[in-house]
This record gives sequence, structure tokens and C-alpha cells, in this order.
Amino acid sequence: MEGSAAEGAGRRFSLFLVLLSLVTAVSAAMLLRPQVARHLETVSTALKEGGFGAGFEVALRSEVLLWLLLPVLVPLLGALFALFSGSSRRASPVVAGGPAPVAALPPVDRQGLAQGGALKLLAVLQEEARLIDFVQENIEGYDDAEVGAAARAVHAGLRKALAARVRLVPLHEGEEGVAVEIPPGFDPERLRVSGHPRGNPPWHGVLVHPGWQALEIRLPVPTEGADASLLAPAEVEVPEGKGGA
Amino acid sequence: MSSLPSESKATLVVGIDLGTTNSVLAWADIGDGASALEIRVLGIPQVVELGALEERPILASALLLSRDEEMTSSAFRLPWQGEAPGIVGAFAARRANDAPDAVVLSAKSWLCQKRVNREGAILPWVGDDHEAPQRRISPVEAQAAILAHLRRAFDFKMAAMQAERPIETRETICLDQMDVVLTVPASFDPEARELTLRAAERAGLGNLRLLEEPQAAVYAWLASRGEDWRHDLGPGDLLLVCDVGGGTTDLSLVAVRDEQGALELERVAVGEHLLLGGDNIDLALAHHLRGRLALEGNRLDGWQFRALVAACRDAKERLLGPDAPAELPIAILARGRRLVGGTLRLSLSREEVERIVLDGFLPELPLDAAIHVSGEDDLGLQEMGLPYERDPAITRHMLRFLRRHAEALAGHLPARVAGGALHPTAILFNGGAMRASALAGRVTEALAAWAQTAGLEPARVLAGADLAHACARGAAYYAAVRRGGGVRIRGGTARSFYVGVASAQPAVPGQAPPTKALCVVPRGLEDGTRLSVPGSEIGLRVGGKARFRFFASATRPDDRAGWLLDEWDAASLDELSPLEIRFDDAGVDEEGRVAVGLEAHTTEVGTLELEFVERQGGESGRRWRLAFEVRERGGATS
Repeated sequence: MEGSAAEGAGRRFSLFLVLLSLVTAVSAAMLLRPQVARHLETVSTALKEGGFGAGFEVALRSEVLLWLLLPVLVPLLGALFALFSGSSRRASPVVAGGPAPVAALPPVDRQGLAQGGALKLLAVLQEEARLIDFVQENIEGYDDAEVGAAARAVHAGLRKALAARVRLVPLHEGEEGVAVEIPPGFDPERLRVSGHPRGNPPWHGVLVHPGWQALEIRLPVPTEGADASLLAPAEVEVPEGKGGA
Repeated sequence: MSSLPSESKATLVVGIDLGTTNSVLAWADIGDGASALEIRVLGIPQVVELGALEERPILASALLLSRDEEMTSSAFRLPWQGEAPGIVGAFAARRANDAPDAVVLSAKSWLCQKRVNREGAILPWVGDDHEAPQRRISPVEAQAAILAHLRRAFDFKMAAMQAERPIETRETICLDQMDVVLTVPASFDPEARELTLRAAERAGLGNLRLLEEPQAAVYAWLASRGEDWRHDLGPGDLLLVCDVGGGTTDLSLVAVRDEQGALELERVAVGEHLLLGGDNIDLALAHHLRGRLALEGNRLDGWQFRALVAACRDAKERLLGPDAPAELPIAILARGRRLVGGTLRLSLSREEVERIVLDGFLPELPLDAAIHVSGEDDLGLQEMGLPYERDPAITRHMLRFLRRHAEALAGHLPARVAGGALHPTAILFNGGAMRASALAGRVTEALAAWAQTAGLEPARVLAGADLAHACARGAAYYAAVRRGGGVRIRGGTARSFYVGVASAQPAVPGQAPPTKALCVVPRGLEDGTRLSVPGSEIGLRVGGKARFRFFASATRPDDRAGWLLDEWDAASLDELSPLEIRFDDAGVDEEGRVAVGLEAHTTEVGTLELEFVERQGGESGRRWRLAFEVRERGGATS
């Protein structure tokens, strides 16, 4: 059936968008950590003194490059994925006042509520933190200070928007770097064991990342009959005195 | 106290804070006879983004007037049925900067603006040099729309909660069946109260009471402290309630007395209506930063300016809060899709914020500082619109308040009067603006400095206030207290009221006969009192248009009903808006005067009514009721 195919594509699309937003959120958060900010400085010094090659090397050694490139790479991969799965769904430019030429997602049914909620979360993150604008912009030509300035505003908005809707707690109460014992029968969903464990647990290791858990999430609810695929309206400003008849 | 459902349908008590900027609804179940009263703040479903609903504890008091396209769009469909002139809440507030012609803000402040027709379609307000928007509504309608949203949200949420219960125990809970208390500024005049009630009626809330906001803050504090409040306050204490909200500042004084072994609270003074609040502070910071950007050649559009104001609010709370950094970076994004190139960067330092906010809004003043607060009529011409305070110094308004009431209360509270001003012993803060803790700190310091000059102990701060939700919580608590048990704040009317009576004297050409002021309601008259004003008869004009003048005073606590003031100074009596009305006399056609007496009635709801009663005829004598109603008025020229 054509309808269900479109629905499946829509679901994939929304999943992709949610993934995208999370990746960007993480990248922005990572870039703003003090230790990364220090790295950023080192990178820019290296760029000035040693040229592009030296700068790239320093960036590669620190984690700066990863966080800078992540928001660029993920949409790229996503686009490739969408292309190959044969359901590419690119938004055509919207002509103000005219009907949007894009095929809309089917109206949200009960099952689709979660999907609608995810899409509306994206819409809210766009409105409150300009997330989609940020991710969709090509940042290649800008220097780090410019990217950093935008990231700061996006970060502040995302932080507030997420805090209002998701209660995030670390999964492990320890600080990064503390010694941790991995007991037998540990929950692999809550604990990822990396490195070189031998034989059976208990193993002894070092906490690399304490993990995250969302204890509560309150997604926006789409209004009845609304087209959940609309993430931000086109905006047209009418100057004073041109209001029309 | 447990009550059978059959006795009263109201198993819930509800408090509504209908704020200038934000509104909150709190409720508690009193039907189950449980021990402690659990007051909960309602999550209010509202449109937060096109096609997206969220529940939030705060409903922005903003109304986006919908155009036809928007009325039918599913993007604004709420989960309940009902007519509404537009969209209320977060989304509407956000649109105020990019669509100022379509968004009604601060409708509450217009309710006490004497010089405009408050039931006329005047909002959104635009100056004379702008084209009037296509659709406008009255302040009363706008308030009604906000209240209607709250009512439907409450009914919707209660129905959803009931749906989770077993079918045989389900009840239909509707707000209009519950005991509802709505808070208003202590400084609201009788007409503004009447208009608030009218808005509530329009919203389908017939059954409610009004409560002064600073009192509600005290009730919220009492509710949070339980019986322990008696450790914090004792006989002889004088509590200053300092309520600085988004748009207004409201001051009240509450005295603690020992009445036959029991502590009693009495509200002894209320301040004037000050259109000055946290929003002014955020705007001042934003204008400061905008000026700096302009020097660098950067111009902000309306959208960016709103982002700047929001960023300033956050920065203010951070920089005036505990562990504040010396400087905070601020980034303002461009409005279009391009973010990275177009972001404006600037920073705000703690020193700047302290200078602008603390020195500008809360300057240090000596106890004997000269205060000139310019009246709104000083200037021959003033743009119509809200009479915002010209003087942004909250401490100056505070000192003026404490001085104004010092003389009047010297007899009641001799220990608290020194150096020409009252000195409270305790402070209770309320309002979102006080989240920036340095602001509250500066107020406390100012009071301490004045007390020190007068040789008195500094006032202490009462802890445990829930700044954003206190009014609604306190109102719900008050509704429960009215049902039985708990401490009540006495106080009655905050001001004494007078009617103007033309004096009987030979006519002098070219001179209007002087007006005397007849006290009809003394200060402190409790709600639900009916009072026959003693004294001589007055002649009421019937059969033709008659003009009535009204006055109020917060500083004449000793005037009794029936007193006729021959002379008074403009500083002690404030004139309320006059009333032109035609009373008809069924028996007589021609114009004439009827000898009448006056009856004053403070209603249980919290409003004031006056009635003229014909002297002849006894019980069956004719009566003419004079409610503080809205009337058509000529606007600026009247």
C-alpha cells in the first residue's frame, strides 16, 4: 500500500531527525566544556603558527575535530541513507501563501502520537534553540569563534528546552576516572564493558563515562489534525501601511 | 474537617493568580477529610508552538487575537471545545514582538487605568501615530479569555484524572462548582475589582471571591510553615510584604497582635498601584546592551530584541544570584536561517548589572531623603496608554509608602514608627523578580539602614516563599481556611471611601459650589458588612443625569462613616473616576431631588456597593443601587 510506505518513510525520517538533534545537542554541549574550549585555543594557536596541517593534527589529537564534524557528518550519512532507501523526502522551498508542494505526512493516529511528539519536540527545539537552522547550516567557511558564538546561543536554548522536558540523570554515580568493579550478571544495557576483560566477571576497570538516563520525558502533544511534519513555518513580514485591503 | 458531598458540591478549593504577565492556578482536595492540605499547581495545557501543546504550570497572560485563517487551523486546536477570541499562553507571548498588532499583553494593568474606557475595544493599544489594528478587544474581554482558558484547562484535567478512577467513583468536577478565590492587587480600586468580576462572569466563573495578592502571599507562607509560623512571628511584629512581579510592585503591611492569647494577623496598610516590575529591569538591561551594539553598528530587529530581553532576564538572575561569575557571555542569533555568520556576541558583567539594576531600581537612600514622585498630571500632555511609573526606584516608592502610613498608624503601632517612617520587623518577598537574590538583598539592606538610622532592629526575612506560585497557592489555602480552621488575616477594606456632596450655600456666579467629601466606608470594614451611613440627609437627583464623584484614602484610618470633610488636601484623598448616571423615579416624571440616606455594602466577594435609600417610606422606601460599574466615557478629554 502506498499509504503505509509513506508512513514508514515518514517514521524513518522522523527517527533520523531525532537522532540528528540529539547528536547536535551532544556536540554543542561537548564543544562548550571548559577542557574542549582549551583545546580549541590550542588548535587555533597551532593553526596560526604551523598552518593548516599543524592545526589539523592538533585538532585530530584532541576531541575538538570530532565534535565539530559530528553535526556535519551525521546529516550527510542520513541523507545518503535516505537516498539509498529510496524514500528521499527533501523539503521544497515553500512559496508564501501558496500550498506547500511537499506531500504531507498522513494525519497522526493514536499509534502515530509518539512520532508526532518526537516531531513536535524537534519543532520546539527549533523554535527555542534554533536547532535545525544550526545543524542545517554549512559551517565550513566560518572560524571557530563564530561557530562558538552560535553554539553558545543554541546550547543555552537547548539546555533550557531539554531541562523543561526531560529529567536527565547519570546512570553511574561515580566521577569519571574512578575505579569500578563490574560484578557478575551485570546489565549490559546499563554498563558497556570496553577494553580487555578476561574470563568471567568480576572485572576491575575505570569509569570512562557515567552514562545517562532519562527518568522522565514530557513530549509536546500535536494538536488534533495538525500536520506533524511541519517543523517551522515560513515567515513573511508585512511592513506597516502595507496591510492590504 | 470532612464534609459530605451532598452538603456542598465543592470538594476542591481553587486559587487563581491572574497576573499581569503570568497566571497560575492551584487547587487542593478538601473533600477527603485528609489531615494536611496538599495544594497542587495545575499543569495548564496550552499551545507552545504551531501544532504543539504542552502542559506548563504557568500560563502567560498573553492573548493572540486570531485571524479567520487561524481560528480554523488545526495548529491551534485545544483539547477542549469552546469559543475564544484567540490563543492564550506561551505561544501568544512569544508572538508579541513579531506581531505586536495581534497580541494583547498586560490587560490587567488596563483594568485600573482610569482615563480610558475599560470596556471599550482598545487592545492591543497603539499610539495615535500608528494605524489601528483590525481587531481589538476590551481589557475585560482579554482577562475573560485568560480566565476561560484556565477554566477549560481545569475541567479538562479533572476529567482526565477522573477517567483513571473506577467508573462508580467518578465525579464531574467543574471549576464553576468549586470554591474559587481570585487574587487582585491590593491597590486595585473598586472599579477594577468590579471589572475583574465581570471578566470572571464572562468566563463562566460566577462563584468566586477576591483576595489581595500580598495577603495571598502571606497565606501561602502560612500554608508552607504549618503551625511553625508562630515561631517566626510574634505579637508586635510588623510584616512588610514586598511583591515585585513582572509588571507591578505591590506593598502591604501586616501587623501581628495578641488577641486573648491567640495570635492575630491584620493587614494595616496597602501601597499604591505601581506599574513597575521585573520586566522593566530586563528591558533596562536589554536597552543598555542594544545601545552598545548600536555603537558597533549592529541593529537588532524585534525578534532579536526579544531574544536579548530573554537573555538579559537569565543573565540578571545568574549575575545577581549566588556564586555569580564576574562576566557572562551573551549570544543573539540572527532571525533568518543563517545562524553562524550572523550571531551577535556580547557580554554582560556583574558590575554593569549591579550598576544598572541595583543603583537604578534599588538605590540606597537615607531615611530622610527628599522624595518627589511626580504625579501623572504634572505634564499638560501625556501620551495615553499605561501610566508607567516615571521613577524606577523601587526603594524610593517603598520609603514613600512607609512614610505615608507612619502618621496614620502612629497610634496603632507606636513602637514601629520612628524618624517619620514605619519600620517593619519582618519581610516576606513575593514575585518572580525576586528570584535574583541580590534584589531581595538590596531591599533588606535598605530597610535595615533605615531602621538603624531610627535606632531600631533590622527586619528579618521570612524564608520559605515559593516566589512564582505563592499567590495561587495562598488563594487556594485561603479558600480552604474559609471553610473552617486556620488563621485568617483581618483587614477589611484597605482604604476609606467617600462620595462628593455639593455643599449647600448661596450660588456665587462663576464658581462651582465646593464639594465636600462624605465618608461612606471607613477603612477596615470587613467583607460582608452592611452599613447604614449615619448623619444628615442628602438630596439625590432623580429623573435626570447626575454626576457622582468618588474619593478613596489609604492614609485616613480614623475617619468614620458619616463624617463630612469640608476640606482635604489632594495628597490624602485620591479621586476615583466619576460616574454619570440617571436614576429614574417611577412615580414622578420631572426632575427632582429625593431625600435619601446611604447604605454601604462590602460584599462577600470583595467588592463595594452603595445604595441610596429613600428616607420617607421606611422599609418599603425606594432604593437606587450604585455599583462601581463601567460607563462610556469620552477618553482623554474628559
